[in-house]
Amino acid sequence: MKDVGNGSFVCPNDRQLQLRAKLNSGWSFHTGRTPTRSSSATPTNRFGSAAAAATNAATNGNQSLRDEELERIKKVLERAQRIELIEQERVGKLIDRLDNMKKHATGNGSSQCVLCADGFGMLGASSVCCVDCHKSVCNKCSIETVYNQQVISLCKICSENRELWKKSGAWFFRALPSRSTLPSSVKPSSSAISSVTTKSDSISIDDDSSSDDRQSNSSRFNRRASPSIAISNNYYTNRNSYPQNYDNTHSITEPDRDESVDSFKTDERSLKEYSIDEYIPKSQGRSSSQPPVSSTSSSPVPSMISNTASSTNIRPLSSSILTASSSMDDCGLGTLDFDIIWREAFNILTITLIRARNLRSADSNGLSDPYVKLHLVPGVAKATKLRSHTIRRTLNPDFDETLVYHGISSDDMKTKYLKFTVLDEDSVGADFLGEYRLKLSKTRPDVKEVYSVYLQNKTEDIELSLDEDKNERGKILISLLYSKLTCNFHVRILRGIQLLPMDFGQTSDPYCKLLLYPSSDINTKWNFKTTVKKHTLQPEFNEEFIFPHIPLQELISKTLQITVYDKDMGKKDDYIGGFELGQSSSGDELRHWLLMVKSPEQWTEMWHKLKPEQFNSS
Amino acid sequence: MAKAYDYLFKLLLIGDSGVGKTCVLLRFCDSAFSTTFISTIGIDFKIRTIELDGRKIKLQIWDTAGQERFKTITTAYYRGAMGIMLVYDITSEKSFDNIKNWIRNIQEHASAEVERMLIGNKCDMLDKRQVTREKGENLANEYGIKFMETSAKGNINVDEAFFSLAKDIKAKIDKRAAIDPLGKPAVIKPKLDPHKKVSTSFWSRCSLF
Repeated sequence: MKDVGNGSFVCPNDRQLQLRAKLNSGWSFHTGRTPTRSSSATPTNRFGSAAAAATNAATNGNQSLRDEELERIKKVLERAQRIELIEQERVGKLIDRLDNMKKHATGNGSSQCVLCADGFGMLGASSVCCVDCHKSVCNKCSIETVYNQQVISLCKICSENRELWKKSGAWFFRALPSRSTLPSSVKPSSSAISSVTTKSDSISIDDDSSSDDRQSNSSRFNRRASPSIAISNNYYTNRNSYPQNYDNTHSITEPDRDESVDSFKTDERSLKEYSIDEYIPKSQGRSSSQPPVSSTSSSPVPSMISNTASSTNIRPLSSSILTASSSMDDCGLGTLDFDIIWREAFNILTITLIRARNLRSADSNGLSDPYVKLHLVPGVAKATKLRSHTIRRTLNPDFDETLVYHGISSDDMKTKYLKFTVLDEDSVGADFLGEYRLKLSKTRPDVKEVYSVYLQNKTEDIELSLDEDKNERGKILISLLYSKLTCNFHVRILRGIQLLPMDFGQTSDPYCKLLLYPSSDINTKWNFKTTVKKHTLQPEFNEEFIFPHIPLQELISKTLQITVYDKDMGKKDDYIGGFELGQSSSGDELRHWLLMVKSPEQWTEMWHKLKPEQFNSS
Repeated sequence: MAKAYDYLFKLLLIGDSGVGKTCVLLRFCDSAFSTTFISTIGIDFKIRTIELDGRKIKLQIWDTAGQERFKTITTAYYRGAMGIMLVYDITSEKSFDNIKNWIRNIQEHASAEVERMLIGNKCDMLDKRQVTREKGENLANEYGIKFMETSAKGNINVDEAFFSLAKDIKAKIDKRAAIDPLGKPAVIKPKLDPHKKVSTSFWSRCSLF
């Protein structure tokens, strides 16, 4: 479009005039406009042209970047974008956490504790005034910390707020990230990529304003969003106009500052216990035994370490907490190490449980008998259960156990979470020790990734209600083969997974029925049944059935119906689900059918979802 | 990607072309070294997660091209950097002299809070040394920043330099945490330090003091 202005008039050449004459569109055409150029300036490669334009403008047209250079830079920016997304998600979690805390704060802050709403007074708890919010909190909900060689008290909300301020980078960017971009429901990777491209446009465009590109477009840090932020902004700029001086003050004022800061930090970890009811009394007990100078309550996970650290004012050794991950999620429930790999070609998800550390003790002997349960959520909880062995009498179990999910499609990987639940085995039932949810979309296919995570508190399974909507009834892996030589149609029922539990006790006794219709010959047997697999939701059938002597022509017009039932004694078998393969089917079913027809003499294997509808068994 | 971390620090490496910024980064992040000189195109970054005082810190270290023609791109990254490493080559007087220009760049484009550090790279090549350690130290003192001589090739002081910078940033954060996050300013009085030409320009702009 820029070219239009410059090329005011270009005499049309003869050939153009000739062609124009043949059209009945008149002569008032913009003959000077060459379509090729204008289109090259517009969207085809938005980033490239934008970056080029920006750099051209900025370097006063000295040297523009070559295409391959732009390509390189673009790739780097895309990588940076991914990092940014991870960071946003992390900060989002932190903010959610704080919001949750605020939501649960029920007291009025004067006669009651602002957090737990316990009344103060003769019989009630003694109150402490939070330095930041100036509201009263009870001893349990406040945290004493050392700052500027003074012991100050903070309520847990303000303490968490400070922590958030530190961890989110807001201390640097002077404002908290705006909530709008928080990916609490995280976008799938595809949308991430698309946002990369749009973002990178503006990155290069606004570079003469020299703003931070990583925050400019997404307005993650909405600096001037509100007056209060503007004030803080102003304030920060003022005092940070003296970077060197600032450093000096830093070193002059308190020589032993580092230590005090450290103990302050370790204290703050205990915040994370906030919502764990069972855990609080424990940490309180510990806290009361501690000198007030160092800390009130101590860090739960590496408890020994931080205890010693805070009481002696020695920094925790960095090597000792190597396994611990993001302490933002530290609930004091311990850590779990595992690795995970999804093999895309085989649809197999392999999880190796390595170890857990610092688990909570659930038994009277001060130990637990931990084991790990795996679920895929959302989905039918019982249908995807895998369980590790139980390691007896330990809080630091080494599992070293590999669990495998079959038939995990890329669809599953995009939408589902893998839920780890650590439980304590009791003679009757089990106690909850912690859980962790891993978003499967975070993992990359065919790459083994090792995780070390903090266990979380129990979260409500809101997914349960969704199950019915999603109608997840499980999946069956079948393999088909048509042999032109023998005119036989072979069907192998290999395995089923995540079947819907039908029986009491949340299990099923599944079997499959096969039916090929319409049947042309009454004498031929057109239906089969597999054996019944007892008490399982992931049956392995591995049975082969042959529909003999069907010419391919005929087979094409037929439909293969596979239905799965739960065998019951004394009553009608429950229908779990089924599907049909044939020309009139759609999706994977149709694809599989066509694949089978197209490639005779070859086994074609595919997973099929069970559908809830009943098929007519004509 | 999956690693959990407590903090994300964004660091930046600047300095003349060929002083070894990329090599320092390669050494720190990948424990590798390459003698072939490949000029960085525009910008690049690497990640390394370190542990300080029991906290996991993810360092996103931006490597910039020293060449002038990439200047517009690279300066765009100054603002987001929490720490900046100024790198010069001890075997090149010119790269050392240019540090002043780089510092000016920082003042123009980077956040005022940024932590800075001076790095004299290639300190294994003692026979070709043109810039004495004292000179480097003096310059660093002049600007009130830390100084280290490193060698990416000999793996001297590289880790130490990054850790030191990260530590300074973290100390800054912990200091910050005491300030009311809601933006109500706590009273902090910066001490006057008269022999600073750098700060004078800021003084005049300042409205509070």
